[in-house]
Amino acid sequence: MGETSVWELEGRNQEREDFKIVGTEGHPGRQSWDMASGAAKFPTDLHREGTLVAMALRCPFGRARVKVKDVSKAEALEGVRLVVTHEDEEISEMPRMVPSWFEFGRSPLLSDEAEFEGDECGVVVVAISEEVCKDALSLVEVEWEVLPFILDARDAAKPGAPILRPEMNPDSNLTGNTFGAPITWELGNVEEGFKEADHIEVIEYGRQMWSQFRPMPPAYFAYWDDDPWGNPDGNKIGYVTNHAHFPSNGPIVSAYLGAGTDMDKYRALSPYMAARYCDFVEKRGAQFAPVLSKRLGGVPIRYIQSRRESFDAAVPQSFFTVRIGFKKDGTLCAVQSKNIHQVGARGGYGDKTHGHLVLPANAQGFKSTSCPNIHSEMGYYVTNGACTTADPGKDHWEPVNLAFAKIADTLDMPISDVIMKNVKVTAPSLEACMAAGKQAFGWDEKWHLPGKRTLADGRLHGIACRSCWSMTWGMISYNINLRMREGKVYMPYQESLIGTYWPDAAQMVIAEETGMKLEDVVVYYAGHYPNWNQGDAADRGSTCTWAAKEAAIDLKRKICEVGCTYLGAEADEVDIIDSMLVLKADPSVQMPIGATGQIATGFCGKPLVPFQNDVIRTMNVDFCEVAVDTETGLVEILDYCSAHDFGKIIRPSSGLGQLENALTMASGRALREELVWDEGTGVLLNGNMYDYKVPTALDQPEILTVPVETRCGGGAYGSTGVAHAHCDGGLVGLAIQNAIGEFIPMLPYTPDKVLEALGKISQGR
Amino acid sequence: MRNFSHVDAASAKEASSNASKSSALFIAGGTDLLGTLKDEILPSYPEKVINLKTIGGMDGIRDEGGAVLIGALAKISALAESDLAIAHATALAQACEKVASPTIRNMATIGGNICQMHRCWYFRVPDNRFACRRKGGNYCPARIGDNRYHSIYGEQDGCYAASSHDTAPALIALGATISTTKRKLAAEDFFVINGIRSNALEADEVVTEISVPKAAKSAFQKFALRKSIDFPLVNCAAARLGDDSVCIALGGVYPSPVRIQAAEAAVAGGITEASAQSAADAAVAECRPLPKSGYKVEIARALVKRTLMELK
Repeated sequence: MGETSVWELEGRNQEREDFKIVGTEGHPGRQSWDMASGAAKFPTDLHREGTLVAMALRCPFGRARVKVKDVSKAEALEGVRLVVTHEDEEISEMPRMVPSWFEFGRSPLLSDEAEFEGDECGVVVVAISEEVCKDALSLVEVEWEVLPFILDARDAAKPGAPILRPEMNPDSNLTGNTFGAPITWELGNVEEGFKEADHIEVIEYGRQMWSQFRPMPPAYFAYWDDDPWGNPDGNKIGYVTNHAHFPSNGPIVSAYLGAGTDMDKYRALSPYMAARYCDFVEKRGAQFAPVLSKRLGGVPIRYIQSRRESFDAAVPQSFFTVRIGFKKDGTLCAVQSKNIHQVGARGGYGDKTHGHLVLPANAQGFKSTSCPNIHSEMGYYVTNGACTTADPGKDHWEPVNLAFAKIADTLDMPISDVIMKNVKVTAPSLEACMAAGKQAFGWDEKWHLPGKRTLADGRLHGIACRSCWSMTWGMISYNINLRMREGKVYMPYQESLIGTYWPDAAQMVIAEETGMKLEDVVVYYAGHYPNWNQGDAADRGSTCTWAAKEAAIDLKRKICEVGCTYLGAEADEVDIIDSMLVLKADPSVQMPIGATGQIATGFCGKPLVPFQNDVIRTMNVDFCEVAVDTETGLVEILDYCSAHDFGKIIRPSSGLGQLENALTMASGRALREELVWDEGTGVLLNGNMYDYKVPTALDQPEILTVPVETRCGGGAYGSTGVAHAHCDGGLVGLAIQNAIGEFIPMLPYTPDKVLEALGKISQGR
Repeated sequence: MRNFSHVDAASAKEASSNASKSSALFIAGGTDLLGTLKDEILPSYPEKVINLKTIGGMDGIRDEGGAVLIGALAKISALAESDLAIAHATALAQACEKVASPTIRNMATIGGNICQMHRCWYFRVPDNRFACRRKGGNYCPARIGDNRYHSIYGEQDGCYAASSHDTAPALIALGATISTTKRKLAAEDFFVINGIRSNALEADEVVTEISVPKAAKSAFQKFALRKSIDFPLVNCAAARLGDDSVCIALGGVYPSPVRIQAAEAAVAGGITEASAQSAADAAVAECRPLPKSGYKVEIARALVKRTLMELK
């Protein structure tokens, strides 16, 4: 029923159809070997003789100001090498990471105010061991002033709530804990739209904070040493662990800048780091370690952050109240949406959320529907508890799909029909995903009205589906440099790797475009290669292949221009096949490309698509099947099927693996995961891998991945992003509703909430 | 983790004697203790950790006529796979199979499992943030805090934690006797709030052996949010004893695992669907859940019935 998106192919070679390497399987990745063999070195693996340990004073309260009264006993303790306080001249001048596009993020690297329990403040100690550090910190004489704290963005939004950041804006005493008035977006006339509606319903959706899903605590390791290259100014080079997947080593560089050094004075030590989810939260340790090391003459420093302390980064809370009006046939005709969105403590992505999400997130999703009347309001409210990271996209779609489910429930329609009726652009991507997914999942055989099917074991059965966009991420410029030498093409990369395998995908694109054999394209880690923005995150990792493609095309052109003369031909008369330069007219005439000498090129740019737009060209549809134990409230996900439009799938094992990873994350967030603080003290209660319940292997549902290729994305050959779209758990809630007939307004869908929805208990919350 | 001296023990008695001379903790599999020490959750740090793994002959599982005798150092995985346990102490074998994960089961011992400290998240917050009742304080932060995983039967000595041993309900239901370097204790009397401990042991007392009377039939059920590497929200064991009576025990519902005699009475005349339901209702009739733990009442009710139906 929706419109058709006519995608105009943009850029060179977007229309390519003849693939020899891209999309094929059986190419073990270099990273896979590294990780499977143990060759991969993570920051925790790094060690040098004489390494010292650094630790910070951690706040034991939900929010507090510390007065450092006396450090002399700590300084006198045997084994202590350095004690610095927030009043230290150099430290106090160093800002934490300051996103260039946001003005409120600036805060000192070490201050006297801690914004959450476990936050570093006041003092940092360097000593010969962790134990001596702890003893020294216990000898520092401090006085705490406990300050009011807020853990819930809804509380932060209430009139009279404590003002957490008085300096945030001049009107904060008027506007409360927000950056200003909520952002609104409007289309048509909402009140008129509700007058046309046959049904009006109100839906609620909310989620608490999720951890960034990190199985390994960060290990900040740094030292300063001579560099074989040397420095004209005689300074040593800083060697540091790379803990930021985006933007490159920016946060570390900002530390150097703060310390009066420059970007070319560092070398990244390790490409691998533990899995993270869109980690825009930059940790102080990444900046402290090199600064403290420099202060002590370059001695290796390991800055300790425990596993529990690494729970200080979270995906923010989001709470929606959405009033919808729709007609008897399921057509959405009015939406009035209000969203309270959390911005956590300083130092996280939350600091720049306001600047990043150009439009109210909930409007983003509803804008992609055909609804002619929309009013959306979104307010960002600062809290304590933890820093918050990115939340790209999911908020746009969770309330939309909830609205579709509400329509389906009211009108006894399958939600799949409601989706197709109301999403604005359905062809070709959404139609293809819906058709492929329904068939693979067995939707038509499984669907039933809510509460109408009981399994043989007595549990209630439910299914649902939901649509979402596949992000194009065209906003970022990617930088790829290639060099052909002695018959091989080399591509250096520097960004840390979190398991998204983008270099392996880029290798395939480069081989495809240059005509080289895959094994003759060498991707290698270059820790001191000051590259910037090779995307290693899920969505950017997919679309940065655009830059790889453009660079490869240019490299091939140059090789042909140089090499053609050896074959007595013009450049357009030669080609590269299987790493050999050949005469098109007579392929038996060929020569090794290495004979052309060394040729290099580079490309920095971005896919030629708008970043945020109401016309979403690539979509995906997820399907979920659950069983609900009505006696215990336990929900089991039986089947999770994802039909994802990859546009063009470049490296199948990476792409499908991304889906499985994302669905794993979604299942955990749906059923178990949430960060829990003690409301009275602000102390985090579940900062460990037992109590913060990420799914185990046995908890995984059957995951069925269905790749769809419409060539409608913005990356190379029309490829698109993958993982972000699938990371939320709202779909599971819709399937539970299909099972029990009730919507549960807050994730995760734990037994207490299910039993309450079933009317078996009444819990005070 | 802070430094401590690590001492190998040649015998349980030697371990006990050594512990009496200084502040010490015992280690076997270490799956609970090492995390405890790393996070510094206790009010004081031990000077010494005494290794029990070096004690010979204390890890056997053998048939002693009417009972299965289990050395305290028997691995959880060994018990889960023991034909003897599976045949005559089924609930215990099933409980062991549900403990944590294969790697942990291969390290952890039965003695360690029954001696593990509570998983209350207030008790476990690192750096001893909450000086709770168990650590010498005068209050239970869970009572007014987030108590979603806590007791539904009220407090024990001012504590509202929930027992977290997988094997404890099985040992109680089976009528096990626990031998230490100082005495023999019925399992029902072994599990009790005792300072930082979840059992009646004194600081220098070492569990040496567990005697489990053979039961004609027994069963175990565990409810947790994850299928592995998770502690029970509620677990339940039931056993048909030699005199044909049924013994039922619940874990995860009170600071110590509890025997539910009201439920036992409901199935005294035999286990049917109706009597099992009556037993389940009776088991939770006296519950006094905390504001956020009420849902566990329903889980306990379901588990009692389901466990009993396995004995039918």
